Amino acid sequence: MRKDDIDKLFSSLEDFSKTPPDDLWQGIEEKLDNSETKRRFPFWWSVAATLVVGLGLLVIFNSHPDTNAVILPAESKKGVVNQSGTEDAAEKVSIENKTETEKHNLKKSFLKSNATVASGKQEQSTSTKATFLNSDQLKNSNQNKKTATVITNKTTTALANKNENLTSAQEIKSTQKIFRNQPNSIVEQNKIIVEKSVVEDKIKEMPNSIEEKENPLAAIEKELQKKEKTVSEKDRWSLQLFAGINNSQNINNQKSLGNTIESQKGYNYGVKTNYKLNRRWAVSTGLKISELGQKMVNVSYVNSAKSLINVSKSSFSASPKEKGSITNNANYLFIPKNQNYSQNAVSNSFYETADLSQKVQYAEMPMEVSYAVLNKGKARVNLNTGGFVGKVISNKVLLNNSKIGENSDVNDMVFGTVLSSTLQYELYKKTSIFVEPGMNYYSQPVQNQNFNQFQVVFNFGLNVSF
Amino acid sequence: MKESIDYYIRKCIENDRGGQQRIYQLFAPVLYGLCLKYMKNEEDAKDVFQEAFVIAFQKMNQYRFEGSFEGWLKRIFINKLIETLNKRKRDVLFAEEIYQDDILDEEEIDTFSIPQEKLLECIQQLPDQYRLVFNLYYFEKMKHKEIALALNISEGTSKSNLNRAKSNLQKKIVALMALKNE
Repeated sequence: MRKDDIDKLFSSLEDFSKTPPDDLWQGIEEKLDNSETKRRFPFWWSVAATLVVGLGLLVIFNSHPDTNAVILPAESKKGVVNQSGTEDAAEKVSIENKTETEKHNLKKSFLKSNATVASGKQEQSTSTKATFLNSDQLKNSNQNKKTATVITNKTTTALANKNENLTSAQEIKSTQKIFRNQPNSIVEQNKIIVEKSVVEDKIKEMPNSIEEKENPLAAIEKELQKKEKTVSEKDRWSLQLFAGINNSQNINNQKSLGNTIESQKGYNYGVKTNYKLNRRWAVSTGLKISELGQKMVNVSYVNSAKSLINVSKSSFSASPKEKGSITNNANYLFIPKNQNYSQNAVSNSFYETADLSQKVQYAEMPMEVSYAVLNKGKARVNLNTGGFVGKVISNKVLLNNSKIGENSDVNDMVFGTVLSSTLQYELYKKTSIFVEPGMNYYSQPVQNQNFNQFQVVFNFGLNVSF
Repeated sequence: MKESIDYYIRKCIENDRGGQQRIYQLFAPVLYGLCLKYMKNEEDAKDVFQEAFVIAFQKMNQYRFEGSFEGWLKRIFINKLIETLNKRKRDVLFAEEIYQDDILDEEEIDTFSIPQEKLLECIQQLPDQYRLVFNLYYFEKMKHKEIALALNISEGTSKSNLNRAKSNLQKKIVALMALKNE
């Protein structure tokens, strides 16, 4: 008995079928009933987990002792203890990025070399598969394989290819050995990437019938190239819900009222829709609520309502650059730190010192472009940039965390730029979680005054494709 | 026929149990046969058969009404079979080097006298990964390159496993025929 007889012998099992026992359907029904209830849990658990983590972060963030707190003695409220501040650092993401051209070339050479090796070997053993490179020959090859008629249908070119492949097979083998001996090389890494994506494609596109099996390798390669450029229609759109914390930063070491402007923590949340242009590029827009702020410690002021003396703003002059009022509340007069009080109308026994915070909340509409620097398996890393337009929805000036009024110089509309990175992981099909560290720049949020313009942001959220 | 299948597929998408049962009745024999060819025994085949059918019903909304529905179902089943067998990889022995053919007995055998059930048993007795490669190569008409990619093994390993599977089957057939002739 020869090995070829095995082909004939087992061909009778090609369309083998057998009626399954009756109880199997009942088992399937039970599993279907169970899976319908079970399937809902993971999704809602993931939503709940995200919310819990988010809320937890917010609670931790809000309950964190304020290192810039002003301690005011009860009787005079003058003593100020300024503890050293802390700086939040923006999270950096390091991503190894390989050029598309390099990947493409390696994919091509990999597929080509393997195809040639396979071709050479199969020619020796079965004499039916001349080459993968020519689709017509492959078609003939498949037909030959099925009908067990050999070489006769082959073209002269195929025979030439065959000889060429046979002589070069040894050389290609040794090349492959070199590849195997360099498992850590970029070539090998790219090979693995190509292999995995081809496997995914192949499993999806496994042929349905003999007729559909013509030239499968070419089809896989074509699909691979197509997939590289396009994204399936159904996954183009996605909706992102996110929330996070931010820290408004004073990068240029600006001062206001002679005091150094310090960072101010805030929060943001919102919703974004994302449209994938292809596997790499996407655009997004949405609505975000964000808070920009600043803080000054040890600020001197006079509360005319309490001190029973009438002081006018003209008694003090701020820096020439700062012409505006901190608050629209006329009862408060803030005294610039660099003033010589003895020359002014108010004795220092009338002023108080406290912590002055300003918080401006915006409803923002971002317009962003994203580029996927990594899109492998369930993980995706995007770099995002763009701009936004925001409208003020809340404006508070707080003295020792008590609102005393609004900043009258806040611009009602604001423009800014965004730079961020999204690290996304697919939990379930179409559902991913992500974290998004980034930085925003606000262009002139307040007129006539110095104000924090940079904001370090850390968002987390849920992404659902549809 | 195609139209009526489409009707039941739509019923399945609506999660209609009657539609699901009808699809099951239509395709269960072919798919059960498929599972029997890939798995070691009938019990294992039953497990995968049930799990794969549940997956198929859950994914029914992804069927685009293009091409053969049976082919689409088979793909789901084969993926599940590969996944199941790959999980049990520790049983198997992927041969890493190119396997040299055994010296074969040239004796002619009337192969057509062997019933399907016996042939199936021979396949089922193969080690998991030999059986997997054999099935993908002979019944799914996949090339070694494609098998290698699908199973995350090298082409050489795929060829080697196929060779070993064939040699193994050959020995079983010879033994079977000898038994029959006694």
